[in-house]
Amino acid sequence: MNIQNSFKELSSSFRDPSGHLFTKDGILYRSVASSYREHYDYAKESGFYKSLIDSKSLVSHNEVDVQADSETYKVIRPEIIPFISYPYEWCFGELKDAALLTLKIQKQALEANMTLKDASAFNVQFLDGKPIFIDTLSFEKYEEGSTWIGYRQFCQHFLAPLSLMSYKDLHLGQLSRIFIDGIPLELASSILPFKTMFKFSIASHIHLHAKAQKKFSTKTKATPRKISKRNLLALIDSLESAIKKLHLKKQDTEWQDYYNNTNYSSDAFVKKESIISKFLDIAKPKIVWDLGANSGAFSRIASDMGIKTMSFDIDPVAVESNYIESKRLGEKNILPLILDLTNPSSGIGWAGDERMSLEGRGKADMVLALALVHHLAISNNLPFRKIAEYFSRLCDNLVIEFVPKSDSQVERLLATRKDIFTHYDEESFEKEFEKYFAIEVKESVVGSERKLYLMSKKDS
Amino acid sequence: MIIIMKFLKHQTGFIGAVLILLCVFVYPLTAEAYIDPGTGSVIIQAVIASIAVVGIYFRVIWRRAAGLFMYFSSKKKKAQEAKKEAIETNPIKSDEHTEQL
Repeated sequence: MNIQNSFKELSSSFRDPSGHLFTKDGILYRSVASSYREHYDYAKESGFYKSLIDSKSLVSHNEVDVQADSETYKVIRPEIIPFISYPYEWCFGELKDAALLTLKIQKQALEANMTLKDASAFNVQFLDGKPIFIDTLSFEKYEEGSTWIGYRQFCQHFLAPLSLMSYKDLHLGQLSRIFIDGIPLELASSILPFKTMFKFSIASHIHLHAKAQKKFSTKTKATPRKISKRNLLALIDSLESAIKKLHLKKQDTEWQDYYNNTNYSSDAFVKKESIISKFLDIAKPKIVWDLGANSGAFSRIASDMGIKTMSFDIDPVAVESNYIESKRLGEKNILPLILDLTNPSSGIGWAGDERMSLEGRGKADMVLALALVHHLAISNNLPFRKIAEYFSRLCDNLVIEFVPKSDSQVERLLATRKDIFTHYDEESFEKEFEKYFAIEVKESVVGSERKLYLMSKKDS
Repeated sequence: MIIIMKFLKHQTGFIGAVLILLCVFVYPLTAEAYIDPGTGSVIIQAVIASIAVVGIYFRVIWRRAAGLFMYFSSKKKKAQEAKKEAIETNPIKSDEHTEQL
């Protein structure tokens, strides 16, 4: 049997030689390298893995009998995450919770005489509404006196973006999209306001840290250091306190008053909810992507029905409020994420596919595109044909709302520009979408001039 | 020590001075990693950890002192409340006491 042909290694799994992720017959596995045997056995036999899995801090796994290459000690089958999301798609609260989870795990690891050998934000995912660590092989036996290898990575992946979002601008979290191994501390230090020089946590972990990195950047010989476990735990405490102290500024965005300034009467809102609920009953999707979800009011119709729902919005404040609500209600089926649909997450990293594009993580069984089409067609000059074509790549079923020109939201968009959208009408909308989708149901929203459609993708 | 000497040579300011002073508490050890821990990051984490551990000690001392203060002040308050309650619940006795005076 040719092993190389039957195994498909994941493009994101190449940095750590301790093991690799691969799929075989569509099932995800993780190989444990022989060189990692000592650490794996220690984590398993000491009960460390079990304690992390029991506290839902680490994805569970089973050892399986799957043939791999000669360098492999064992093969494990990890628990599946329904949707892989990336740090640049998380809101402030999600990144903060992921950072606190990483530190909590590092503390637990040190107590168990192990340590995290990296601190990449990509090692955290969201499962059932909570962050969870996914890299089972990120741990190694702790050597008395060793420093935390992942310290630099933690500061770059978590502390720098969170500080920038907290002290400067919420949108600076998007820097993580450009800098795949975390925001360079020198850059973070130069952007952060001067007052942060007087905050011990930021002054030390970012400003002083950046200076030290620069000072020793030309040093060719590694300088190993010794640090006691007591001091290491104090360092983790210091980072934990720094992260906990970071909060969002009260920010106003164009969307915050959306629900107060919408074209819906409360009756129309209830009617819209009942139509969406009916469409969900008809299509019975297992995975829904709500594109332009705002704070997730309509996503919750799907998630409350037990459907795994990704609730995307361009506005980080709306996503933040969605996440806060999901935490408050203890919701397990909704995942709020930041997405600019006019520039969706593309494949990035090595060879452009280390981190997957949005489309690469699909398809969704259903896409909700509510009160969205006018923003795409008018604000972004997208022809209906292009919108329909892209949506047909993302889903099998589409719930879409058509917002006519007479609607005050469209009038607002056209108020400051010339109306060049002569084909922006219901007839053209249906004609273009019918090239890719079949219109299954069309409903008028009583109390507004908007229309809701349930469409299914045509076989190509 | 070599690092310290180099630092002394190129010392540019306060930050450098703090680094040199605190590097004295740090000792060499061989480490292996699949990611680059960064020389500067390794040195600075040892420095910050040393400061953080001192901070923790101060915090513990402060909390104990505050706890002790709270204990004595609550004891004093309790004694005062008990005295006040005794006067309120047994006014005759306190009247008698007043009469005796």
